Amino acid sequence: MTEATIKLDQVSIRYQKHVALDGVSTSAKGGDIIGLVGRNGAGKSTLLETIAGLRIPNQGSASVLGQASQNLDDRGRHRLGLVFQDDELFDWMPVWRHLDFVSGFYRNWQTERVDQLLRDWQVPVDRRVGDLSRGQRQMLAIALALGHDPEVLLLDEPVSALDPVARQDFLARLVELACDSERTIVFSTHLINDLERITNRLWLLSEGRLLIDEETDQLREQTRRLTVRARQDLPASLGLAGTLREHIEGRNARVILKAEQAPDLAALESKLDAQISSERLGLEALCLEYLS
Amino acid sequence: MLLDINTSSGTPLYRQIVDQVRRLVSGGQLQPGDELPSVREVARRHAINPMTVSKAYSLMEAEGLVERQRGKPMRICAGAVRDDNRIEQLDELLERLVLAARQLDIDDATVLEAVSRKLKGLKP
Repeated sequence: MTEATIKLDQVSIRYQKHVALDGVSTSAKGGDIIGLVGRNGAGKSTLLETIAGLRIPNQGSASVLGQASQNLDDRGRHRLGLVFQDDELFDWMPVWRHLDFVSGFYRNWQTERVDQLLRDWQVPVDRRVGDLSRGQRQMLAIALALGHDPEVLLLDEPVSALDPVARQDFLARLVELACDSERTIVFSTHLINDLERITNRLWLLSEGRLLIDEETDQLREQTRRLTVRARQDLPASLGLAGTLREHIEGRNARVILKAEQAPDLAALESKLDAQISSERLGLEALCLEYLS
Repeated sequence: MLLDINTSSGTPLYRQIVDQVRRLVSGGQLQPGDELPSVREVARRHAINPMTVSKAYSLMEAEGLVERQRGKPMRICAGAVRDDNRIEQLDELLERLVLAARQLDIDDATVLEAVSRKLKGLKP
């Protein structure tokens, strides 16, 4: 088993009275591409910043690549790649100077890779950073985060400003990176559809709590939506094993189940005197069920 | 090997890969001994997580569809074809059963139950 590259143990973070993270425990290993989803204010950015050591937990502990996040030394920091929402780019520098500037901090800077990315994404290197479009600026931040070949890549809504073509290209690059070597990539997004192909794991945050921390394949396989149409009014709860959510209205019910074994529909149909259909959910539908 | 990955489906991607390779074998587009592209090639071409592809390959190996060769690509097993054709021979019958059940407005669970009873009747 590969050693954990990221480890969170009961991490809680409070901003005055607001609880941003509430007892989050999880881990990630090399090779993981993790999708981080949740509504605005759910704690996604705080979670990524805590892993990177930019926020210190009020309770619990975070570590990355074997070091406590809050005590990362330069060597540890050089093994991380970060793209955060408030980028720290210098508006007054032309893009090419910015590349020079950042590459100076790293011994293993991959000039060729970064230049290629910017060419492919048509980011004008002669322009001042402050004059780039939001999308171009995001591309520059991504290219810079990849330049030193990081082992752990933390991306906070990296594609929010990209057009669909650039977004697809970016996702394909992430897969390339994952193929190169066993990295850990965590990226938050509202575009859940983007996660379907490339992630193997999903973290879903709601009000600071980690509601889902699971392999995406397992989620898809074990989660089902049952639509129940009964001939008589249904009880207040159907009491099915593994029920996550249940909406019952008179004779109709919709139940989200998560269970290793598919329920015995025929038995259930005769018990409830109902017609029941069962379907599996894609990640997007599944996340919506959890979040709405 | 061109795969058609449907991301909005609830079927896990590794399952989709396995099913499609199996169909390609049944359809004769992949023959016993044919080598499969590497995990990374498939991951790159379809922009899928390499771990997902790797999982699909392991499952195909466990199911006897492909075999690992030392230091060489995975290849389709000699025995893979016959097994698949056997179940495919039922396909036409199954299709007729489904159609008849739809016309009679019998719901799926009841049809499955009837099939399962019938199977048990044949093998008590």
